[in-house]
Amino acid sequence: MISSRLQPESLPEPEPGRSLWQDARRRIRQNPVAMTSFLALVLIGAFAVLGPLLSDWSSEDINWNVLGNVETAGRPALGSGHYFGTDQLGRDLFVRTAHGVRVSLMVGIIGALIAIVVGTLYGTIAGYVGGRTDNIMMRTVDVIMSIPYMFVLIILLVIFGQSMILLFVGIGLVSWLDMARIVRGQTLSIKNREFVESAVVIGVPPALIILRHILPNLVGVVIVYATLLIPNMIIFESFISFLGLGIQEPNTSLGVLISEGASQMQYGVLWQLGFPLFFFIVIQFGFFFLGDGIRDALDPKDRH
Amino acid sequence: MTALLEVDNVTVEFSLRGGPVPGSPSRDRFAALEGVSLELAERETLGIVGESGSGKTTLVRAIVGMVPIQKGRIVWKGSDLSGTDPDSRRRIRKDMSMIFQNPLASLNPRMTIGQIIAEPCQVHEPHASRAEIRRRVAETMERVGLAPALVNRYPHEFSGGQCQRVGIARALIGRPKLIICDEPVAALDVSIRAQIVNLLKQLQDEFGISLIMISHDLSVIRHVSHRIMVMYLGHVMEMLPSGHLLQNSCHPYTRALIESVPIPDPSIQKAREMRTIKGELPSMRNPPSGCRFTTRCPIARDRCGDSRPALLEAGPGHWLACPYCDPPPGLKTG
Repeated sequence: MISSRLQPESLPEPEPGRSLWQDARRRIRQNPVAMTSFLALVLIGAFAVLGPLLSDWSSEDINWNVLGNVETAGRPALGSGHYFGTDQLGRDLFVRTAHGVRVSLMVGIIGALIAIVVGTLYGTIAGYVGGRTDNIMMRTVDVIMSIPYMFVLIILLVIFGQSMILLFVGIGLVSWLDMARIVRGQTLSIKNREFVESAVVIGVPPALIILRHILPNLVGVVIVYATLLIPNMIIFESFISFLGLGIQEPNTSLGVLISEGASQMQYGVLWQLGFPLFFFIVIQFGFFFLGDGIRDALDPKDRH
Repeated sequence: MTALLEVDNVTVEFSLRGGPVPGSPSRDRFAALEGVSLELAERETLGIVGESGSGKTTLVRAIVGMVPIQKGRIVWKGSDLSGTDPDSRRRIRKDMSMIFQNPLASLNPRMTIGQIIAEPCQVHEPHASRAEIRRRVAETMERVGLAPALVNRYPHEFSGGQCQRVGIARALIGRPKLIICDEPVAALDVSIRAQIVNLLKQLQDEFGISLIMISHDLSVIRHVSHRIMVMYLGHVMEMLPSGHLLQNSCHPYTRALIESVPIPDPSIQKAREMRTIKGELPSMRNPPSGCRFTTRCPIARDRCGDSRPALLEAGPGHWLACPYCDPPPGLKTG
């Protein structure tokens, strides 16, 4: 019989294991594109948070000396303190761009977070319980998806007036739908793997099976999809703002800045479009390449 | 000798539209298992053999309660499993555990093997302290031949044989009375098979466990089992003590299984009279009437399709569901 001959203190020091996460981290460090993207995103994040400290201006101050002569006096220059120039009202574009990046990133990240929490929960439950529950839950998703949400959101914004909260509600409504579908599909395939079966035989309660056996095996897919969702959400917000329905003055976002810059293009103030657009594009590419890199790192066999 | 486990005339039906559904009309259902009975004593090993689709896995899944049964009962130490409340069923589950075919796939890739082995403990003994669980994990690992220092490793860092040892440790840690092994060595190298099979035998002797072993490797089954049950399309064809398998088995299906084992000597293999069965397993949707083996049986007669032959005692501990085959050669002489 096994006896207690093995006392806890006599146990040898356990050797450290190499988890799949550690493997993935090692692989992504060797991926130059993903690491460059990550670095660019970190720098942009630092710019969004710390940038305003480098300037004497705030995002709402109007430089009255520039007003009316933006084309020449509001040019980007180190001497004037307007590193990125000013907008058509004489407000410092450097600080406003930092502000816009901050708002856009926030919108993207909040949208992704809603997708992660709601979509993952919804998808795992539908997939794991299965049967009629699954059918009802997923058909509901289909119905919500079939509604032209952009149209609905525009009507809502027109009726209730523009507000950040309504924008987040709109983003929250649409962002989790695709996630729920993806997660459900993954859950269905994980549910039939032998280790879940063995947990069922052991008698692990269903909630614990979802928590311990299904969710950790979903995390990879969820992270990748969330990373790819952030730029989509930023585009979504930019589009609403571009139409003039999203973020309100004096608050700003990349979409608002690009929209304003585009409307001033013909007056020789191209920097008003150029700087916000540059950050917008770098953020988009950064998240796409980072998401791609994470996917490759988590699933090396899947690489083509 | 009272039986530890009794399976009495059990039928499991599946709906063709997925999953076992009791209410669906009969044309949408087929019986994966029909009227199967068996008894298992303490410390006994029962081997189950049969082709893919013969219902072996369905039978053990019905025993552990993963598929509902339509008819019959499963009795564990005198209490009917289908009648007991969920609480005592969970307690019974503690006494049963299972080892799976694919060692790596049966281990969660995101958990360390320490967490994997400890899981039955945490579920069935929620009051056990962490130190206590850690000590038992280490003991069990050592017992199945894994170094306790490996607790924090992950399944993908192990070989197939080691993964199967982890699976055995997980099955063993709750001190079960019965371990069900669903093709425990089919996915392993031949060189590892003997180690795992012998480990299972040792553990059985040491802890007095009963085993149900599914395999299609007759040599493994014969080596570990006390009795062997031969299944075909959800019916029991023959059941006999494993020592009698080669000489005394007489069901045409059992003989065909024995004769289909290749002999690793070309001269003998070529000279053998090949009486292997031909054709595919018939569809479960439309199984042959009467004896289910009629369509492929070398000695089938017209009457075989009329009614299902009863499982009758043909000798001591030897049960046979074929009235026409030759009497066991061993009995003829003795």
